[in-house]
Amino acid sequence: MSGFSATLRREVLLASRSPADMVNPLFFFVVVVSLFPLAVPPTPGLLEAMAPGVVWVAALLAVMLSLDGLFRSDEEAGVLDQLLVAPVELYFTVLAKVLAHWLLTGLPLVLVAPLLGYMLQLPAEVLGSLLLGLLLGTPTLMFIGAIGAALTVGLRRGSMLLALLVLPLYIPVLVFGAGSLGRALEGLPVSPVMAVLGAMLAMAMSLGPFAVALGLRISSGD
Amino acid sequence: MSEHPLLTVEALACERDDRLLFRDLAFTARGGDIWQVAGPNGAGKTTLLRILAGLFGFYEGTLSWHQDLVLRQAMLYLGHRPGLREELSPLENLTWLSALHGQRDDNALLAALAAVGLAGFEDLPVAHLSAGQKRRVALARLWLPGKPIWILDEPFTAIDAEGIALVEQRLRHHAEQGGLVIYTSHHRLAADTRQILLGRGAARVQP
Amino acid sequence: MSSDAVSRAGLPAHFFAVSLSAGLLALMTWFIWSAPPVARTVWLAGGWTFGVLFYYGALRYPHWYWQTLERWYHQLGSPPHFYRIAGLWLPWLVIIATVLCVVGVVWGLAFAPPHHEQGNSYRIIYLHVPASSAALMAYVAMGVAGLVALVWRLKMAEIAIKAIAPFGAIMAAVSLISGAIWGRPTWGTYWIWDARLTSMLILLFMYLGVIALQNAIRDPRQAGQAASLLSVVGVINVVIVRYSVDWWQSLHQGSSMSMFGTAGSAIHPSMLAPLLLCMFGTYFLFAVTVLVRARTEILWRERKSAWVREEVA
Repeated sequence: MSGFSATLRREVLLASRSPADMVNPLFFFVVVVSLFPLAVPPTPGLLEAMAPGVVWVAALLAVMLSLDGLFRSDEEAGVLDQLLVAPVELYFTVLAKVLAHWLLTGLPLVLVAPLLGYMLQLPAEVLGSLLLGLLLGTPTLMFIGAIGAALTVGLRRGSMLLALLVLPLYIPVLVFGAGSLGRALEGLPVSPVMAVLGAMLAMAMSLGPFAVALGLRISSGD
Repeated sequence: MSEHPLLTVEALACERDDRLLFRDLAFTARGGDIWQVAGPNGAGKTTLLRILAGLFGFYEGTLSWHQDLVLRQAMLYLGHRPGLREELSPLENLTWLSALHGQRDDNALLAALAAVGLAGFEDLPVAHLSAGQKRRVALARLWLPGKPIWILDEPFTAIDAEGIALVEQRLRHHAEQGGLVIYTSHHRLAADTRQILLGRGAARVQP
Repeated sequence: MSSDAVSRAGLPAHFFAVSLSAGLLALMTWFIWSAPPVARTVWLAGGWTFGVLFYYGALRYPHWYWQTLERWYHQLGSPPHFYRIAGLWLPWLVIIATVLCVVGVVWGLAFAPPHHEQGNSYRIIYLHVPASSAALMAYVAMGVAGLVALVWRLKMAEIAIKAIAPFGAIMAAVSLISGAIWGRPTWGTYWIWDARLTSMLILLFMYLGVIALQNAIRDPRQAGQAASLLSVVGVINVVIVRYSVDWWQSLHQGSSMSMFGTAGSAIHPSMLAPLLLCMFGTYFLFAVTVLVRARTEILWRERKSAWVREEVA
C-alpha cells in the first residue's frame, strides 16, 4: 500500500504544478453546457426537459477528454516503465492515480454542476439529485475511461480512438445518470437509481483498476 | 549467490514489426558480472533490456531469473528516457520512485543527488535542468542501496566525460560488491566486459 | 490456471479465479434468461444436451477426456495445426451451412404461412432474427476468446478475435437494417429508440471499437492482446447496457412493441421451424467465416515460416 499514498501525493503535487490540466476540463464543461441555451429556441420548458441530457453528456465528454493525458504524460517521460517495474501492486498505484485524477478534475465538475443546472432552469429541488448523481457517476466514468486511456497510451492520435472505445462503455452510466435527474424532475424517488449508480461505481472501482493495469502492461508490450 | 547464475537465457528470439531482431541468444549472467549489450541502431538493444526487465513479453525462448529472486524487488531499471516528470523537482521525482520501492530515506536521496554532482539542484523543477543533468538525476538511483540487479538502457547518453567516469566507476564498484549490471551502450567498460552483440537478426555473445 | 494475466494486473490469483467463475456463471445465466423466446429454447436445449453428454463422458472416462482436452489445447493453440484441422472441417461446415440456410430461407419465404396481422412482411425475421442472434453470440464468443488470450496468451485466441469482429459487426448492421425495413410497414417508422434497437446499435459501436483498436496498433500480438481486453470489458458492458436500456425505456414509456404483438407470445410452429433452420444455418455460417478468416490471418502472420511456404507452393 505504500505505493498508494505516495502516488496520491505525487499526483496532487503534479496537478499543483500545472493547474491548467485541472482547470481545462472544468472550463470545457461550463462552455459546452452554456452553448446549448444559445442553440435551442427559448421555449419555456424545453431547456428544462433537455437539461439532464445536456449536463450529463457534457460532463461525460469533459471526463473523457481529461483522461487522454492520464497516462500519456507519464508514458512520454518514461515514468510509466518505472511504474510497471516497481515492486508494488500495480492495482493500487492505478487506483491512486485514477482517484487523484477524479479528485482534481472530476470533483470540480460535480461541484459546479448545480450552478449550471440553475442556469438551465432546473428547479432548485432537483439540484441535489444532479449533484449526487454526478458524485456517483463521474468516478465511474473515470475508471471506465482509464481502461481506454491505458489501451491507447502508446498510440499517436490516440484521443479519437479513446473516444471510440470509451463512449459505448459510458452508455449505462449516462442512461442511469440522466435518468436519475429525469425522475427527480417528475417528482419520483431517485434512491433506486442512485443505488444502481452506486453499484456501478463499486464495480468500476473494484474491477476497473484490474483492467487498467492489464491495459498498461499490454501497451508496454508485456 | 555468485556461484549460482542469476539469470539464464536460452534460445531467446524476438521479432517486432515483422523484423527479426535476434534469435538463438543464450547466456548466463552471475553476480559480479557486467554485461554490455551492443549493436547498431534498431538492432533490438532496448527491446532485449525490456524483455529482461519483464516489460516486454512477446518473445520466444526461455528466460529464467534465479528462483529465490523477486525480480521487481531486486532490480533497478533505467530506461532510455530518464523517467522523470519535468514539473517535479529531482528530489520529488526520486522520493516517489523510492516510495514505490519501499524506501523512504530523504538523506539517502540527498546524498545520492550530491554524488552525481547535483547538490543545490534538488528543488529546481527538472524542466530547468540540462539533458545531462536530467540523466544524472536518473542515475542518482545507482547510489541508493538495496538493488543487486541493474538493467540500464544507455546510461552514458548526454553526460559529460567526468560523468561517464563517475558512472563507470560506480558500475565497477557494484560488480565488485557482487551485483549484476546489464547495460546498453557503444561504450565498453573494460577489455574484459562481457558483450552481447546484436545486429542483422543475430546475436553473438563474447567471450 | 496460469497466473500470467493475474501477475500482469497485480492481483492475487484466488481473487481472479473467484470473480472469473462468478462472472461466467452470471453471464451464462443472463445470456439464456434474456434471450428471445426462440433463442432461449434453442440454447437451453443445446446447452443441456451438450452438458449432459459432456459430464456423463467426463465422469465415465476422465482420463481420456483430460488427454483429449490437452491435445486439443495444443493443436488448436498451434497455428499450423489449427490451419490444417480447420481446412479439414471447412468443406463440411460449408455444406451444412448452405443446406440449412437454403432450406430455411426457401421454407420461410415460400412455404411458411403469412402472419395474421403483418401478412408477408414478417418474413424478414428469417434474416433479422438469425443476424441479431449471431451478432450477440459473436460478441460473447469474442469475449471468451479474449479471456483465453489474456490468461494463456494463446496466439490463436487473438487471431479468433480478429476473425470474429468483422462478422459480428456485419451481423449487427444486417440486424439493424433489416429491423428498420421491417419497422417501416409495422411501426410506421424506420427507427425508434426501442430498447432492442438501441442495444444492437451499441453492440455495433463496440464491434467497431474493437476493430479500430486492432487496426491502430501495429504489432499484431500487442493489437491482439489489447483487443482481447477490450472484448472482455465489452462483454460486461453488453450485459449492463441491456439492463440499463430496458430500464431507460420503461422510464420513457416509449412504444414497447415487440416482434409479435405482446412480448413473449409464442410463435407458431410452422413459422418457427424454418426460423430455427435459418438460425442454425447462420451459426454454421459464423463458423465458416471465422475459420476462413482465421486461416488467412495465420497464413499472413506466419508467411515467413517454412510450413506456409510449403503450403502456398
